[in-house]
Amino acid sequence: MESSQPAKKPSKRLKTNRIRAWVQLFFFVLIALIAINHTLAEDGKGIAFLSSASLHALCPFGGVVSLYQFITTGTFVQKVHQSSLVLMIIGVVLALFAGPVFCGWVCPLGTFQEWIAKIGKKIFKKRYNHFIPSKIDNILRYLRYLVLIWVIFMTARSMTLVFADVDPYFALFNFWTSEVAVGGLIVLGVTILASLFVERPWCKYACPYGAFLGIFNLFRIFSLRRTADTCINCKVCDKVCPMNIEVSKLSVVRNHQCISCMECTSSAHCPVPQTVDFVIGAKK
Amino acid sequence: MRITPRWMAVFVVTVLFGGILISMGLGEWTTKTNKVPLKFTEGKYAGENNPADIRGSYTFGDVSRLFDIPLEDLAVAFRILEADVAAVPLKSLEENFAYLEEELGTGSVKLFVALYKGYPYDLSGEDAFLLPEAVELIKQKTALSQEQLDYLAIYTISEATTLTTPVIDEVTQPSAGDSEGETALTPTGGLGTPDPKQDHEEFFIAGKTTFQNLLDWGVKQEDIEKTIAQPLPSLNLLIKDWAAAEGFSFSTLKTQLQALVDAAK
Repeated sequence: MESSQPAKKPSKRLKTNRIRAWVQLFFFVLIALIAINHTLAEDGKGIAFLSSASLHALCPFGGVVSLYQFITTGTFVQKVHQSSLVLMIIGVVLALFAGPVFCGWVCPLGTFQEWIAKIGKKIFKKRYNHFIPSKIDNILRYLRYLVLIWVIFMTARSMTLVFADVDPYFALFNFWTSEVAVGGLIVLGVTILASLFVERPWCKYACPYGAFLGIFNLFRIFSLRRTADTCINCKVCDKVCPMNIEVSKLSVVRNHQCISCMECTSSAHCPVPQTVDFVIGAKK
Repeated sequence: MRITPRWMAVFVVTVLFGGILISMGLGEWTTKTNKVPLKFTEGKYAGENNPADIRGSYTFGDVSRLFDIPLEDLAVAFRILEADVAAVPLKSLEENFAYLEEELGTGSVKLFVALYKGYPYDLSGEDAFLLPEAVELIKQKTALSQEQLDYLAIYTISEATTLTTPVIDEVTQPSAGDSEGETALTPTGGLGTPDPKQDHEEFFIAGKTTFQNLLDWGVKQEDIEKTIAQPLPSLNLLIKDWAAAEGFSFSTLKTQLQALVDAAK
């Protein structure tokens, strides 16, 4: 029975979601190599078999902010290319099925924050990711929607990529070039520092693309479900959730902050088989 | 049906790369600009390329082609002495003219093209400066309105600033790992390497001159107040901004204040 039962200790050693870590590493390295190759290509020294596209061309959020201009004029915001629109569509398809799986499995900035989090966890142990009082935290979680609205509005109005001036993702992979805005480097610095205390602070409080994809959690086809009958109320799912979602209190996770990382599932950290799972359709 | 992390990984990678491959197959995957600017949608120039949409990734060759401007004129206007002017990207301007106090970049090219071609252009947007030779070319090609002349009076990079710096020249510099040296772009000039400090010390009023600068240059507060017929505003205020806010012609005010500066030297 569910949470009315006294908490039991997990019956077996916690598993890890190693496959996600490998996928994240793959995308991080891929983007880093492309960013380096872009710099090399500008000097005529690019590696032929590797894309030398600018990071703006490989960011699905460019498609989101360009949408208004694309619909009204058929063109893209400066620095954004058609590939961004393609990636945006792919991101939407992924999100329609699995929610913001892009955030949890692909986004290199999210991965980078998780790596910094490992240091924070070593320093602060159990206090890590629990510094901000939940009342304040719950309000702050909606800030990213304000960022999303601001970016879309300002981009539509100015027809320039206003977000580039504060974009930590671009700064992370271009800090060695003169293309990076000081604002981007500052935001990246703040994000790195904050990641020592809070897991994925950029994703939680400021990422406009995460805000956009988060909406899909409300109706994603794959649903993250907890089976109350088998739950032993150990709250491991709550502890491992990078976004501080209290999975143990839910039967279906529809929280807009869920990044579909699957860390809470029985395939990863949940010690009881078939208790927290991503499923298609109703869970048996 | 349960989805395991392994299946999720396969799903993510397949949809992502599958989507990219499909878009490539359809010819929809482009990671570079198509270099087709927005067009004017109304008025006399409807259907023609709009210089306001010129991008830093364009080369001078693109600008020449898209706006029918001879490369020679672009080379003069932006002091490009490289053999292949057409291949020079606009975004290299900022770096090449980094020694200037005023910003000379893609915005300057937009402004130049618009005025050169006589296209309408929103002068209230970004601050775009032009070199004196660009302004001369524009004046030769088109009749400017008073508003445009006033604007150029403010946004022409002064001769004093550019006197020591001007040209982007090709020089050969030895570099580590390349015993024969490599070609690099370096600003050089008749009087030697530019010294930004020297530019500031030339005592010429430009778009970025503040009231504080005037005081620093020895102009008395009462003389300034007499000229502007008001108490001295915030010292950090740009004179051009103050002039615009108060409805003064900056070029007229600049001449009057410059006389004070010259007298104080």
